[in-house]
Amino acid sequence: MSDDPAVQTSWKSKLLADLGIKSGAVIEHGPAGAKCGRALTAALAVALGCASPAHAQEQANLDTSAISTITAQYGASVIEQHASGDKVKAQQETSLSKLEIASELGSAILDPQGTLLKASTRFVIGGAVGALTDSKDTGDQAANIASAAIGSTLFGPVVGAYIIYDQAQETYAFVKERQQQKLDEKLSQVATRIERVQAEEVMRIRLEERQNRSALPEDAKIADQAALLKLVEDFKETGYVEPALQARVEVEKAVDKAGFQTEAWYSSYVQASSPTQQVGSPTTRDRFLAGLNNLNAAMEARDSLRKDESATMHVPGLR
Amino acid sequence: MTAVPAVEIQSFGIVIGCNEAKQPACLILSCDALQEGGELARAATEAVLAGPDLMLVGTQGTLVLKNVAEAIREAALAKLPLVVIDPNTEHESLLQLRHEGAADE
Repeated sequence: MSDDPAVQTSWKSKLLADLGIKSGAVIEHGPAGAKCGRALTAALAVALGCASPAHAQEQANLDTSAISTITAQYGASVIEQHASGDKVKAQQETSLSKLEIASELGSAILDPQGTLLKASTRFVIGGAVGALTDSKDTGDQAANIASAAIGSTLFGPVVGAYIIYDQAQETYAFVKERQQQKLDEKLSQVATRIERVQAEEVMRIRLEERQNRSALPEDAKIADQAALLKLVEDFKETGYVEPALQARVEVEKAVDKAGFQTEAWYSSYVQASSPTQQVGSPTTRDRFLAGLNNLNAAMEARDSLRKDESATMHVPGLR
Repeated sequence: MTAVPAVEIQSFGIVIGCNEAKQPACLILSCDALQEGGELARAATEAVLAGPDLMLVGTQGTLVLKNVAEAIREAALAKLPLVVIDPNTEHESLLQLRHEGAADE
């Protein structure tokens, strides 16, 4: 087809060729969008070198069965008649020979690149058919030719929403991105909800365990309290809250917040932790310095002990 | 700001041009596939996405394509170029699409 001299003489868009454009999705806007879409399809067919009016004229004696071929191929079964405005005129002007020309134009668009109109049928967006405005642009001729064979079949049922074709997921990156964004958004919402439910559930379980603990025998309770107090003592010394203590602290905090009686060890923990909160960061340093002092004291004590020992050892030896 | 006229149109067609891999590679406008203002599109030097509208700005005036479809907006946000063709005059021009909210690069 591309070897046809009639095609070679026609204008082609160099920019579109440079961009490697092989197909297109026509998106129609507004009440006269259908007409604009047809004009655009025809213009694009020319610009991509798929068809030219000259080429179409030369193919005027084509068998009319091409129309039904196109119609069947794309599942459009009705050539719509519109009862308003210029569309009627356009239809009336469409002679049989024009239909034939146009059908070949449709074939020409389909044949070399294969996907131009396929894509067009699948991405049509916009207003209703009809209510066409009169335009003096000469592109109307091409639009009318295109509309006779392909417009009324492919662009006829224009809907006001996306018609995304079945392979959109493979070919239309934007659709995929949008879906992914929405999915991510949804997942993040769900994740937040899961976290909240998880936190609530953990607290519920811990409170249940607390309830069970209160039903334990007295000596077991005492042992538990002692273990907790030991952990609090460790915390006082090291400043490190053991996970076991942390879990119990969270429960008691919740209990305290709710205005109920906390366990005995908790007050000890609060005392141990409150100066930390008041003084702030220096506590670690204080603790370190205190430790250092203790160490120094221990060293001095040991040294003095050694002196004593040496004295006691040497004296008898020398003597 | 300047006294150049602004024409707003509701009816028009835009093509999302796809490459061999069927990936969107550019947007395509034809001067004869607009309700009016084909000459403004032909003379446009810049394309700006402003909210739901696509503006073609040129020395002769601004053509405003009202309420472009979401797919077009996304294509503009993806910085696809806009090719304006006019088979009647064999004109073609490549415009960089700019998003009004985005910083100029």
